[in-house]
Amino acid sequence: MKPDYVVRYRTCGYECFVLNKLVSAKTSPSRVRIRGGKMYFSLNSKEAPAAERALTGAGVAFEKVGEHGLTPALKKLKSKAALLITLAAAAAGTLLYAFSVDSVKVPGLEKVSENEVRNAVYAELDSPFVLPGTQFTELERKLLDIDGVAYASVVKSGRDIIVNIVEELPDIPLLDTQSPVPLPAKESGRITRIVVLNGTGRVKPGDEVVKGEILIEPYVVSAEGEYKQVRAMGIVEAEVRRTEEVPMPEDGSAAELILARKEAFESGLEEGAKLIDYSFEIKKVDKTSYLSIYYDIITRI
Amino acid sequence: MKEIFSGTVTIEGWRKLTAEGQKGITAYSDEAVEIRVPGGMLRVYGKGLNIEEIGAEVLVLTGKIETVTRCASKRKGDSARSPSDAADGASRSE
Repeated sequence: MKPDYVVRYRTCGYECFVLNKLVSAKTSPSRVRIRGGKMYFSLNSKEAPAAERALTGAGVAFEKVGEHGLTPALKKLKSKAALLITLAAAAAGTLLYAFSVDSVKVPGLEKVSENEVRNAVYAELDSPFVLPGTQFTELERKLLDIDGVAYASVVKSGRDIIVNIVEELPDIPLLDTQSPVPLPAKESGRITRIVVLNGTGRVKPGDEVVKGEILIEPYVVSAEGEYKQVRAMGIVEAEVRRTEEVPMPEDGSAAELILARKEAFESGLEEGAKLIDYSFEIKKVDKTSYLSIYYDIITRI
Repeated sequence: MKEIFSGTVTIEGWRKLTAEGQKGITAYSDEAVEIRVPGGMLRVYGKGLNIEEIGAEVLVLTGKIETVTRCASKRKGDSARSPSDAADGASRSE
């Protein structure tokens, strides 16, 4: 008879008596072993109740030491089902947490808008979960469409998405430093300072120069007297006068106008220029009066 | 190799012994087992003897069986501790 499952027992002493008792109870013990002064035997689970009654009736102490077979295994599994379900749920929760996206980091941007990059990332993500090893090829291609982005790479590190952007370089005008060209004056004025960086200076502080006059020659003379052509470079500052003509106000109140024009002029000066004085003159041409304001400034020419 | 030693006891390769119609065991250890069989007693000596199955009609012994002795009846003073007192029996030749 094929057993449902097998129950293992242990008794101490009276081996023959126990076995004969079990046989007389119409049971068939199997796998009888004597170890350490104790006898172990197995019984069909269906015979176990009869065997236990016989042994109990005979006053024999016995102990169930195990059950083997599919049914005991399923019983153990059932009792651990709640634990297994809890473990499975915890594992699933941990995986979901690990795959989720916490934040998008865009380090090191100077000109490109960080919000624009983040919005592009969130628009491209289909779900709040990103599996490890996901390629962001399509997202990187879309990031290149943002103004100022020369290169983009996206990686997931932990729960963060890191977007590395290389910004486009600004246009820088090329400076020709090789052609032998002199440095002319951009305006007429009186030289106040000259610093020759390359070439030979032709003027000195106090000289009156006119617009277009050469300030620095495009050559240098070595100690041996050799001429070498260079591109003239230097800083030349001069005191220049700039003039502005405006119609006179009809009510004749020129003072406020002059002050306003002076402040506007001063705020619009180029970098490095400085207003040192101003004056004005009123002229009448035909029936109209004109106000001429003279600004004396020091600037680079 | 299956050997027949009387009509009720079968020994297979000196590793397995089957006794049919057994009436109970009177001694059991890993070196000697004594069984009541129709017409007498059966004594089995060896090493690592284990009862694989015991039921109402059959007993199966396994282990290294060295000597099987069948006695007409259990005589006074007999014990299953020594194979020397054999009425008729078989021993495994070395």
